[in-house]
Amino acid sequence: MDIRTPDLFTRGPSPLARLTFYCALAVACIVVDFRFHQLGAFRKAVSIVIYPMQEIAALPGWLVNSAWEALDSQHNLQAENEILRQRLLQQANTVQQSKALQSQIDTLNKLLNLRQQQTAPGVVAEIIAVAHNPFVQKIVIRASQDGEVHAGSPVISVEGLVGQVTTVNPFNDEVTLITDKNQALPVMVLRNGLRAMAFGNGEPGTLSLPYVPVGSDIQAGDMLVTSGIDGVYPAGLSVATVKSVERDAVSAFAHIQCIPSAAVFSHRYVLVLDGVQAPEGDLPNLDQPQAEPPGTTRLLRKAKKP
Amino acid sequence: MIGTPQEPQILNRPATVRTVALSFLLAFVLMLLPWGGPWLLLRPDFMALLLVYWTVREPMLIGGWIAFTLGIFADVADSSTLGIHALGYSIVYFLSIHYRTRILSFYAANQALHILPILFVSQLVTALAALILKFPLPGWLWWFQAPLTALLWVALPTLLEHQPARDEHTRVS
Repeated sequence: MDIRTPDLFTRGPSPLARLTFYCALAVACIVVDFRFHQLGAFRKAVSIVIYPMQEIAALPGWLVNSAWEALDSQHNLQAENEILRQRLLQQANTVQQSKALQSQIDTLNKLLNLRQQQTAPGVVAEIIAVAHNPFVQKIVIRASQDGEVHAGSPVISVEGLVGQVTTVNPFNDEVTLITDKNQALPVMVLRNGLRAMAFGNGEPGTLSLPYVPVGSDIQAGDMLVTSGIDGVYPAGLSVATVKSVERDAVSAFAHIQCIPSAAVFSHRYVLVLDGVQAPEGDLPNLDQPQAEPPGTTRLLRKAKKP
Repeated sequence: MIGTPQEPQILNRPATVRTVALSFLLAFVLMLLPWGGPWLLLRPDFMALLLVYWTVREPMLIGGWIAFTLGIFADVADSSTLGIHALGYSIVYFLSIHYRTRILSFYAANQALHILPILFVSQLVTALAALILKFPLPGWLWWFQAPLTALLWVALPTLLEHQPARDEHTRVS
């Protein structure tokens, strides 16, 4: 039998001293991780240790899913297959046109001596879990075996932009959703090319455009796509739809709320893009117009006037 | 309850390192289950609960570094900023050590009332850290996490010791 006798004299530092030590250590960790981002390797090492437990925890969900899929009737699968076929056919038109348009854009860019934006094909990844943290909007994905995922790569689903890979671990990767409080991305109104910054609100299903001047031409129902000027997200990815625009006399900026296009929680697979590959290897020059509609810059200037 | 010589009283026996380690592993797996939406907000803090439990029951086994390490593991698992849980759990450990004798002098339900403030302090520390780091606070449901965890305290001895409630007299060291 295991018997422990209390040490009466060798007590070491007092509990308060120990508390102070550990609190100081924790605060140091927070500062180093949050401010200087220097604990990536340590985090990776710990993530390897906890990986088996993550797998065990995912087991019940996986079992339920498999059972559900096995029970799914053939009729349902046939119906789904039919819908997917129809959708493919509907998109065929757009895909073929977009190829022609892309070649036109390439030719025009060459004529104008503009740098070209190239997007590499992506890697399909499975969504394993939603991050267990109510303070952040993140999902955990696992890339298919032959694919390699880099930190900073954009992640899209069928409907549009989901987020950005922020942590690459040996067995899985974390994606910060565009709805996260600390995510900002450059967007453009599809209708008129008005550019803006979209920010996450820290809750699922909403985005806001806080710095759009009151006089800008933007209205509910407008589609927002990525503008591609940050060099992270390729241009033209669907981001959100404007839900409401409120203008008041007090603020110089309109209160604009949007609904993200991508419904993250209803999908199992996402596509990790390889990011924009700038030919010169540096960030795109913001002064130079990119491959955008001709009216864009003019409209933006107009919008920026007080 | 008097144990026979062949079978000593379960409750007199100090918990082995294996029991403690296994229970923490189980708590960790419970924490990693696919909680989502409102369930994630309501998810009890299993690790903090077990930390208080073992600190009160086996103070010689649990050290501050264990609380800290558990916190770091919880941080990585929750993909939050490293150190937030570690800070919370260090404070939970200190409070449990400090109020240990007091907690032991009550029965399970009253003990739970003493655990509640400890868990609340841990949650407050998390919320404060989030405020300072400018993370948005989660919905109001999140504040029910500590009461739910405290409720689990009542069931904990049953789960770990096959004994409905525990008080000072059953603890002979």
